[in-house]
Formats: sequence, C-alpha cells, structure tokens
Amino acid sequence: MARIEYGRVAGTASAAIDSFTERLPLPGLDSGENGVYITRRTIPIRLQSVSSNSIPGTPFNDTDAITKEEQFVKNYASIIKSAAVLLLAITLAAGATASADVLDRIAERGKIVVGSKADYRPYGYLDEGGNIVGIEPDLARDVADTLGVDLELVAVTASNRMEFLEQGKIDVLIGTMTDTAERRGVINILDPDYYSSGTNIMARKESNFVSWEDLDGVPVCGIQGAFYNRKTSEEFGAEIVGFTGTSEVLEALKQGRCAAFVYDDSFLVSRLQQDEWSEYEMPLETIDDSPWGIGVATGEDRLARLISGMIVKWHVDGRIVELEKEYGLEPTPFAKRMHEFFVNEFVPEDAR
Amino acid sequence: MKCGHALRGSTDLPVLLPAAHRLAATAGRDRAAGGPVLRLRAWHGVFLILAVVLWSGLAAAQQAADGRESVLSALIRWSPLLLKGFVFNIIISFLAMGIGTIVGVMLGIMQISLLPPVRAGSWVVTQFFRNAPWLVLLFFCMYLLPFEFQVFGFRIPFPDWVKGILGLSLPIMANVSEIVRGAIQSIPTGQWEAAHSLAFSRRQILFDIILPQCVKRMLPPWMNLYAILTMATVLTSVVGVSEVMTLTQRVLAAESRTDFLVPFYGYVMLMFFVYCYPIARYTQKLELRYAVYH
Amino acid sequence: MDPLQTIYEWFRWLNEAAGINLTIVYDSYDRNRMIRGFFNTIYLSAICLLFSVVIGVVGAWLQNSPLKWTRRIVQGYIQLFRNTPPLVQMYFFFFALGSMMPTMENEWGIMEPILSNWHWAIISLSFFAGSFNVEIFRSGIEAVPRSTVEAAESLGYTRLQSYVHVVLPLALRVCLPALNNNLVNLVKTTTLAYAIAVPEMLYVSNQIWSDSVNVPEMMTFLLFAYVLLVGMLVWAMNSWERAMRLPGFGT
Repeated sequence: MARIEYGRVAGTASAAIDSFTERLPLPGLDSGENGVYITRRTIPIRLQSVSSNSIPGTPFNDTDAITKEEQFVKNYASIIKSAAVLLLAITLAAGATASADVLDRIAERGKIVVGSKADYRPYGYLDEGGNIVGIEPDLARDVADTLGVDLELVAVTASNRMEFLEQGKIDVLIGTMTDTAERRGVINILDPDYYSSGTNIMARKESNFVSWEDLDGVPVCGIQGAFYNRKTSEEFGAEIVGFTGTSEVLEALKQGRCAAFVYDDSFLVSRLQQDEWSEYEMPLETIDDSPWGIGVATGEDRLARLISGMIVKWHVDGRIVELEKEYGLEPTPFAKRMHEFFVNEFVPEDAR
Repeated sequence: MKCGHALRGSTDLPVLLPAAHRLAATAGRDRAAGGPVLRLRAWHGVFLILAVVLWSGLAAAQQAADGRESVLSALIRWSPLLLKGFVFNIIISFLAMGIGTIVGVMLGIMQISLLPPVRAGSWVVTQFFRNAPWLVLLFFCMYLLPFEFQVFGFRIPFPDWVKGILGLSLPIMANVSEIVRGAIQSIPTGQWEAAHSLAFSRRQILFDIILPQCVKRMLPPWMNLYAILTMATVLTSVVGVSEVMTLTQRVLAAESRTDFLVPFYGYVMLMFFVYCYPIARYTQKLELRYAVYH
Repeated sequence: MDPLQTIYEWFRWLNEAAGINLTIVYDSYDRNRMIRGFFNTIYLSAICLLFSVVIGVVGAWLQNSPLKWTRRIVQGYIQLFRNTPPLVQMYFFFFALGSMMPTMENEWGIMEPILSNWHWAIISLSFFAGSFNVEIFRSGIEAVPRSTVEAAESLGYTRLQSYVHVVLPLALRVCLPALNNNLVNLVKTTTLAYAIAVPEMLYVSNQIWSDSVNVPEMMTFLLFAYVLLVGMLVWAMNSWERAMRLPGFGT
C-alpha cells in the first residue's frame, strides 16, 4: 500500500492495538483475538548507501558506513516491535491504575498542548486574530488530529521552551529547536529529526566577505540566544551584537550598526527574495547543517514512540516539503532527502 | 531688585500692563486653588499622536508608489489584538499594586516595630526584594509555582498571568514598605512625644495620629511606584503572558517589514501615554489637595 | 593560577555530580564574558546615576523658571518620560533617533550613525531616571518652608544663589529616601539595555544560558549579583542619609 495510516489511539487498549497494527504492514506482527503476536523475527534493515539500488531488507553488512537515517530505520523496526510488546503488556495488566502519563492526561483532558514559536515567520507567527499559524502549528494539528483531541498552542521562546516542557505545561515541543547533545541531556528529543537548517550570513554585496574567517573582529548581528552565536564569535572572532527579534536585527543591519546578520539559511533565503534586500547576499558557504528536533519530557515513552512514528509518516508523505512550499519557502535539501529516503524504505516499488 | 516668584502674576498696584487682564485671571485662579497650579495641557499627548501619524503618513507616501500596504492600515488591522494585550497589562498592574500595597503597608509598620527580631526580619525581607531585579523575581515565581493545583481530584489551573501578578507584587511590597517607613520617619518626633504624654498607646498613636498624616506624604511616591509598575508589566512576557510588548514583537515578526518597527513601537508608547498621563494629572491634583504647608 | 584552577575544576565536578551547571566558573570563555558583563553593568549604572542626578537638579531648577516656555518644555519632558515604558523609549532612541543621526564611515566601509548603542543606552536611561529625579527634587524643594525662601530673598540672594546655598541642601536631605529608591531602580533598569545589544550582565547571561541550557543557575547568579551590587549602593546611600539626617524628624 502506498500510505501508512495511523488509527485513533482511543478507547480500550486492545482496540488501540488492533487499529494500530491493522494498518501497519510490518512483517513480523500479527493481530489475533487475544492481542498481538510476533510471528516472525524481524531482520534489522540496513542500507548500504542511500543512492544504491540495493533492495530493502538485505541482511546486515558490517563494513558499510551508516548514516543517521539508516541507523534510525534499524531502530524503527525494533521500536515498533517493542511498542507492540508494550501495548500487549498493558492489555494483560488491564485494570492497572493509570500512572499519570502524558497520553492518559491528554485523553482525559481531550486536548493536547503543543509549544510553538510565535515570532519566527513562517515556522510560527501570529495572524490578526491572535492565533499562532505556520508550518509548526500545522504539524501540531496533525498530531492532534491523529490522537483525536483538540489542539492548544502555547507560544514559547528559546529561553523558556525547555522549562515549559519539563514542568508539564506543554506536552510536546515543536519550536524550531536545534537537536544538540546538551539539550538531549535535559529533554527527550525524538528521532528522526523533522527539519534542518544551516548557518549563514546576510551581508551587503560590497562588503566582499569570502570566507568565515573574514568575520574576524567584524560586528555581526544575531538573534540573542541562537546557538551558533558562540561558534561565530569564538571560532571566527566576530563580535556578536544580539537583538531580541528579527525586525530589530534587520533594522540595525540596514542602519549599518553591523556588517552582517548570522542566522538560519532558510530565513535568510526567504528574506533575500524580497526587493528591499536586493543589495544584500549570502556570500559564505552554509555551515553546520543542524537538524531540528521535536521534544517531549523525559520518560514519556509512549508519546515519544507515537510522535516518532508520525515524523516518519511526515517524511514518507512529503508533508514537510509540502508545508514549505505552502508557506513560500524553497524546499530545503534535508526535507527532500528525508522524503526520498523514507519513501524508498517503506513504500513498495509498484505503489510509489 | 530681583523679585521672587511669589509676585508673579499678581499685583495690587494700579498699573495697567499690556497683559494685565490675563495675568489677573491667572492670579485669580492661583488664589482660588490655594497655590500655583501647574498648567498642563493635553498637547503633549496630541504632539505624540501627531508624530506617529506624520511618521506613518510619510511612510505611506513612500509606499504609495511601491504598492505595498501603508503603515496606518497595518496599525488599524492589528489594533484589536494589541489593545487586548494592553488591557491585560493594565489588569496585571492593578492587581499587583493592590496586593503589593496591602502587604507592603504591613511590612512597613513592622519595620518600625519595637521588637528587634520583627524589625530585623522585615528589614531583611524588604531589602532583599527591593534589591532583586524584577525580572529575576518573576522568573523564580514562574518556576517555583506549579502550573496547576490538584485539590480533591479537581484540577485548578494556575495561569501565567496570576504568577506574573504574584511575581510583580513582591518588589511592590518591598518598595511600599520603604515608602511607608520613610513617611513615618518624616513626621516630626514632637508628634510622638506629645502623643506619649497624652497616654496614647503605641498602636493608637500609629493608627490615629501618625498614619493619617503619612497618607498625604506617601501618595506621590506611591503613584510614582505605580507608574514604574505599569511600565514593568512588560516584563511578564518572560513568564509567558501575552502582553502588549510581546504581541508587538510577534506582530512585527509576522509582518516582516522593517519600516513598521518605529510606528508600531510608537503606537505602544502612545497607548501607555494615553493611560498614564491622566493618572499623572490626577496625582498632581491630589498632591495639591493634600499639600502640607509648614 | 593553581588554586584558581582547582576551584574551576570543583565546579566542573559539581556539574557532573549534582547537575548544577555553572559554566561561568569553569569555562574560560563564559567566565570572561561574565566578568566583562559585570563591569559593564557597574560602568553603565555609575554613568547613568551621575547624569540622571544632574538632569534632575537642572530640571527642578528650570521648573521654577519665570519663563513660560521653559516650564512647559520641562513639564512635557517629564510627562513623556514618566508615562511611557523605558524599553520602548530605548527602542525609540536607538532605532528612530539613531537612524536620523549623521552617519560616518566606519572601518568596514559602512556608513554608521555616530552615536553607538552604548551612547543611546546611557542617554535613554539617564533621561528616564532624570525625569523621575526632577519630580523627586521638586517635592524636596517644595518641602522647604516658604518662610526660609522668603528670608533668603529678603537677604538679597538671587534666585540661583538661594537655590544653591539654601534650598538645595535642605531639599536634598528631605528627598534622600525617595532619591535612594530611584537610584536603586535605575541600577536594576540598566538590564533593559540588553534590548539594544549592550553587553551588560543580563545580556551575557541570556547568551550563556542559551548555549549551556542552565537557566535556573544563571538566574540565581543574577539574583545574587544584583542583590550584591544594589546592596552596596543602598549601604552607601543609607550611610549618607544617616550623616545628613535632619534633627527633629522621624521616630
């Protein structure tokens, strides 16, 4: 089949398992009247390389390099397997009191609270009614629709998004958060990553910056709290002048208070398409292509697995690329690559 | 000889100066009010409005050629949202001031207590909350207080703006305590001595003699504090409250046009001015009414 | 540097053992940033304190001027600065007025306005605190008994002389508590300069906690740093208050 669909996770656990596995064409899982049976040992799937024509399911070959996406696919099968086992355990332990885990709370409340940016167009911004709209709110709506609950969006900023998640104020964080090791130590960032962007600068054409080292001692504007500010200033010697919002930075850049603006390349590309920035360019090569991750609180494994599955679904469906186009962005290489990769993985040849 | 300002605007001499009529009227008004009245006009606010309108008019004239939306129409489009945010600021300021004042007065009275531990304890509390940055206090309120309460199986949410109010009332409490202490200490000691000699108890002296006199002295710095508090309500954005400054920044990010920066912030400034200026005038009227002449 | 190095290492151990991450001690980059930020805050506070007091004194004197327009301008300035948020004032000064300043070519070949963000931060904060100081000095001046002023006039003092030798000393003693309050608020208001990228303590802490994900630790540090700074200022002002106490007032 060409699409993977997820049923509603609602009602009793066994109904959930049924609907969950009915639609998953994964070998090795079979749904019977008393629960889920594992009929076949699943073989870890590993590709030799993304572009090769090797058939998915070829047995493991030790000598090949493995990309992050491939590692995930290897884990994915075991994740699904253990998720099924977990749900089985839950069914068997029927009647057990709900340990207030987030999915239970969501089902009880009838709504899911998702944290999203409200000041970063087009990923999350305000419309005139005061509602948060954008690429990430749309992704959040997908999650809510899958679970069959209402969606409540909470505006977050870089400085409070992780605290909100830890406190329990938001259940899921989809807030342009770059996936770093430090952050993984604090919250649970899900695999696979859903988006990515690199770092680049926007500077006047006549400034003639050629390489990142040219920024030594130059005042460079940035957004306060961006993680690449430190690298730009420590490694390349730039003097970071940080402002709170993008409009302030762009105004300062125009006034000549700084020679360049260091930010996500996707934002800069969309800005450079506008007429008022015709004298500016992105002269340097994009570095540090860093993926963005969706976060849940540590320990929320059920929700984590569900959303991981949803991210895979988004990549298979090309949802991210579709949303980028809808909001006027040039589809990023990462989104396109992930889409191709996951389609190769899960969609049989004849159904593509 | 240089005359002092007391003679300005009034004269009993039969001298007809060119502006005599106007001066006489001014003098009459001054005498009726019991002292020189600050003649403030609303033209300050009008000036600000004109500045914003002119600025956006200029920008609009520029854009008429570009074909992009003019600043004025963008301001009008976003006004409902921004005004809602501003009302939020005002509500927060009222409640924070109310709570802070009540607790602060008690703390201030404790600061002049005869018992050393009470005096020391209230002094420490006052100094600590006075010296701490408001932003940091707000931040701690946000993380130490839970986001919902579980009482007998009911979930009571503890919304952000309530945390913001509690966070802001802490420095207000400390500042009011200082104001109260300062006002009490500015009453001449003769009052205390006279009251003691008339066998008033300490509590009677405080509540019947000293504090009523202090109210007049406390009013201007207290209104001053309210002005500072109103401005400080924009800090609650750290706690996650959608108040007017945060909303403005988000609107600017959504609009992504650099020439909107100044008009939108000017608009916010105008809103604050329109709210605070009448309060300032009322404060001045109150000051004159309760003026203490030696 | 060995004893210092052991202290740094102990904080690194603290992070691994207890999860209390104070990178401003063990990480040299963050440590240098924070020290610079601390001294920048002190510098900014000191300069703004000085200017705001000067503005307050001058403004209070001008408020009693016989010229109608002088009084009106001073009143307009006070009303404008007291009734608008200081953060928005700072944005206005920096972005609006800043762009209207004459430009000069800087070393990277870009035409930059002559007043930098530091200058505008100082101007904005001084004017903001100055407007409150004018009110405070005015109430201090009005607390001076009219009889004293008239006595000075009758002794032949000009307006300026009576202001400097008679009115101001008395007014200062009366308004010192309120002035103390205002100066303390000024030191805390310097944190607003972070909005126009002045590298004072809050700005630096913001950068650090974004990089190292240690918001609670940094907030606690900020709390104690400001309590220390402000505490020193308050102690100095209190001792000055005590030295200048007017006999016959207070409990």
